[in-house]
Amino acid sequence: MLQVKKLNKVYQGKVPYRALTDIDLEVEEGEFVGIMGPSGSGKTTLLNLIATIDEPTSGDILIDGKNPHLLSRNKLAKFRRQQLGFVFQDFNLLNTLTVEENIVLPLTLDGKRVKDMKEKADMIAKKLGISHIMEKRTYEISGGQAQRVAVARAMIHRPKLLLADEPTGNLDSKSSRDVMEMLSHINKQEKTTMLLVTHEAQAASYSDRVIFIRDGRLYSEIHRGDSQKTFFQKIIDTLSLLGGNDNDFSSVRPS
Amino acid sequence: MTFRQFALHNVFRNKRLYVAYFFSSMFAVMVFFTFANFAFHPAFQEGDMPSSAMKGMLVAGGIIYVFSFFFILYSMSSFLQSRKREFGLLMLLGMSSRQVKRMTFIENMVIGIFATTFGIGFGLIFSKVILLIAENVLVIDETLNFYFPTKAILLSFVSFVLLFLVISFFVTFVLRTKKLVELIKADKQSKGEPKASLLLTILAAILLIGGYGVALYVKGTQVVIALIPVAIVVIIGTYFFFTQLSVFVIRRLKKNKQIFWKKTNMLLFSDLSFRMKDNARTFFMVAIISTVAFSAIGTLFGFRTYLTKGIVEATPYSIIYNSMEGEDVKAKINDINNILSEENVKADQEVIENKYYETGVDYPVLIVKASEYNRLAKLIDEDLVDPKENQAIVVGDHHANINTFKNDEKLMKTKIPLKDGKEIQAFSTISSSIINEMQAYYIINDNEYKYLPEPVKESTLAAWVISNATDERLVAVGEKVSESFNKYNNAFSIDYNVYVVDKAYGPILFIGLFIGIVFFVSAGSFLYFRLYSDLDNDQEKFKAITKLGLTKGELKKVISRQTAILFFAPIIVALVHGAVALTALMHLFDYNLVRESAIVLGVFAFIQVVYFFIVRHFYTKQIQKAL
Repeated sequence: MLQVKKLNKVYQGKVPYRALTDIDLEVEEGEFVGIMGPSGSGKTTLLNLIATIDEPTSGDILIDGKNPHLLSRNKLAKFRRQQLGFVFQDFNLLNTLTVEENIVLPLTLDGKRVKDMKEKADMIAKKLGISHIMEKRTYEISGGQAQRVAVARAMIHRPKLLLADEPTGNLDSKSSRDVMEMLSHINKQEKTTMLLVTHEAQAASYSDRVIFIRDGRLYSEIHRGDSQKTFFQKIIDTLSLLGGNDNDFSSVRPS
Repeated sequence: MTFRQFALHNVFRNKRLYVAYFFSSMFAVMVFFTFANFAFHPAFQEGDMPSSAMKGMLVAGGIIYVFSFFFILYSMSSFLQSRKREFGLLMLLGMSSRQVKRMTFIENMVIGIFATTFGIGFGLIFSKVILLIAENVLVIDETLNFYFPTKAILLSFVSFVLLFLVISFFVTFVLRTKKLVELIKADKQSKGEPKASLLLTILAAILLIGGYGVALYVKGTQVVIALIPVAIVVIIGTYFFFTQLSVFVIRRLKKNKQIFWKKTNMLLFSDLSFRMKDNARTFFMVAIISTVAFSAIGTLFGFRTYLTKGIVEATPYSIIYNSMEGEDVKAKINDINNILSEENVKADQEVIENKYYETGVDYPVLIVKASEYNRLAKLIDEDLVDPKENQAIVVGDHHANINTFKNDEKLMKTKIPLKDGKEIQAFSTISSSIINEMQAYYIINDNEYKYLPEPVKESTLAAWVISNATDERLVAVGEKVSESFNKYNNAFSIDYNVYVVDKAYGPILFIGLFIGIVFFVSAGSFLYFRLYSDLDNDQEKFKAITKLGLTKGELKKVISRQTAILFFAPIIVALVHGAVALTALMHLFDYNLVRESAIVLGVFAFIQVVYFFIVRHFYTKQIQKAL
C-alpha cells in the first residue's frame, strides 16, 4: 500500500543537516505500523515526507503505486483530503469552529452535501463517544476529548492512510489508552492503514509492527506476536539497546 | 457547514484577530470619505473657488486613495502573515490553493464591505467635526452646512469595494508559498535579523549626509529643482538607516554582556532583535509618512505666513493711499474718511507730499523732508530721524523689491544739487518701510529742503492707522476702500488684503492640513498595528517571565521602553527630516520661518508623546490582564 524507496532528506542551510538516509519501508494494506526512535532521529521527518507536508531530497514515496509528490498542487490538495488523515500531538483543531464543524471540515473542503456530512459526523461521533460535545468550541473541551475530535476529523472521509504524530504526547495515561484503543479499533474495523510516530512504548504496543530509527537510518523492526504485553516488553528491550537517553522513553511524557 | 459558512464562521468567531485589520480598513475609508464629503460640498462646488484649488482637491483625493490602497494592502499582508499556521493546517487537511484564495477572498469582501459601511458612517460624524473646525479656522465665505452627501457616499463606497476587490486578488502574492512545513512552523520561526552590511551602512550615511547637504546648500529656485532627487536619496538613505543601523546597534549591544545581561535589558534587546525585520520596515514607513505630514503642513503654514507677513511688513498702516496724477486728492482722502465714519471706525491720519527730483541716477528720486518722514514714523511708533545739514540719509530699496539694483549704493555716490549751487552729500543708509516707496530715496534736513529745485513728479501719500476695531470692521472698511478705488487700485487696507490672501489660500491650507493630519494619524495607526500584532507573543512571554519572578514595576519598565523605542525612533528621524525640509523651504522663500517650523514640529512631537502615553497605558493593561 505504502512503499518508501531510498528516501533521503537533507536540510539545506549554513550547515546542511542530513535528517534521513536511505530509508526503505513497505506497509501493507490495513497494517498498523509504529515508528520509534530517540529525539532528533528523524521519525517526524519521515512522517512529514509521507504526509506530503515536506519534500524529500531524493527517493520515492508511493501510495497505492502513485507518488503524491509528483501531483500538481490542486491534485495534491484533493489527494490529501480524500486519501490522508492526520492526528497531531497538539490536536491542531481550528478554534474558530465548533467540534462538529471541525470534524466535517475535510468533507466541507470537498464540497459534500450538508445532509451527508451531518450523517457521517453523527455516526463517527457516536462511535468515539463525543456526541454530547458536538456544539462546543475547541477551548471548552479537555485534551482527551480534543484528540478524539481530531481522530474523528482524520477519519470522517475514510482515508486510506492515517498518519499520527505523537497523538498521545499531550495526554494523561488514561486518555492515552482511550485514544490508542480507539485507533486500534478503527484500524481493525475499517481496515485503515495507520502510521504512528511515538515516544511511548505503551502507545507503540498497540501496533502490529514497530520500526526503530536512529540517526536517520532504519535500526531494526519487531513484530507483534499474540500478546500486547510481551510486545510491550520487547519494545522496551529494543529501546534500551537503541541507547540514547533514558529520559526519552518514559511511558508518560513529562510535559 | 458549506464552504461559505465555514469562511464566514472564521471571520465572525475570531473577531479579535480580525478587528485590527477591520479598524485600519475602516479608518482608511473614513478618511477618504471625509475628504470626498468636503470636496463635493456644495459650497465648494458652486462657490467661487479658484480652479487651481479644485485641481488641488482632486490630486489630494487621489493621493489619499493611493495611500489607502497601500495602507490596506500592508495591513492585510501583516494580518495574513500572522495566520500562516492556520493556512498551513487547512492545506494539510486538503484545502486547495484555489480554496484558500476563495476563503481569503470571502473574508476580505466581508471585512471590506463592513469596513466601508462603517467607515462612511463614522465619516459622516467625523466630517461634521472637520467642517466645524474648517469653518472656524479658515476664511471661507460660504458657510459649510452639514449636508447629506449622496455623491461622496457613492464615490467612497464604489471606490473602496473596488479597492478591496483588487486587494483580494493580491492575496495570491502574499500566500504564494512555499512548503507546507514553513507555513505550519511559521509562528515558531523568527523572521530573522536582517544582515548588517558595512557597505550598506556606509551607503546609508553617504545618502543621508549627501541629501541633507544638498537640501541645506541650495538657495532660491534651485530648491525646487533639487526637491525630487533629494527626496529620493533621503528616502533610500532612511531605509538603509533603519535596516542597517538598527541591526548594527542591537548586535553591538547584545555582544556587550555588561549591558545585555543587566537586569531587564536582556528581555528588551532580545525582543527587539527578534522583531527586527518588521520593526525596521515599520520604522521606515512611519518616518517617511510623518516626514510628509510635517513638510506638507510646515510648507503651507510657512507659505501663508510668508504671504501675509509680507503684506503687513510692506505697509505698516491700516490704510494707505498714493495719489495718481490728475486725481482730486482731497476728494479721495475724504472718500476714505467717509468710509471710516460710515463704519464707525476711528483712525489717526497723516498726509505728506512726495516730490521726485532729477539727481543724475536712472530714475526720479524721491526726496523727503525729515519732519514729514517723522510725522509718519510717529503714527506707527517707529524710530525718528534727524539728518544734519549736508548729511542726507539714504533709505534702501524696499525689501519687497526683488530686483538687485542696489539703488542705495548709487544714491550714496550721488550728490543732491540745490538751487543755491550747494550740494548735499549722502551720509548714511537705513532701511525702513515707513514710506511705501519701492526704490531707494533720500531724507534731508528741513532747512535744505527749501532749496531743492523744481520736482519732476509729485504725489500725495495718505496713511491711516486704525487703533481699535474688530477684525470684521477692518475687513469691511477695507472692502469698501478697495471697491471705491478699483480704478487704479491705489488705496488699500492691509487687513483686507491679508483677508483676501487667507481666503484664497484657505481651501489649499485646509487640504494640506487635512492630508498632513491623515498621514500623521496613519503613522500612529501603523505603530499601533505593529504593537498589537505582537500582543499574543508578548502576553505569553511575560506570563512565562512573571512565573520566574518579575515585579510589576519591572514589567512596566520593559513594556514602556519597548513602546518608547517603537514610537520615538521613527519620529525623531522624521523630525530631523522635517527640520531639514523646512530649512530648505526657508531658503526658497529667503524668509525666516524658524518660528513656524518650530511650532509645527513641536506640536507633532507633543501629539506623539501624548499618543505614546495613551497606547502604553492600554498595552500595559492588556499584558497585565493576561498574567
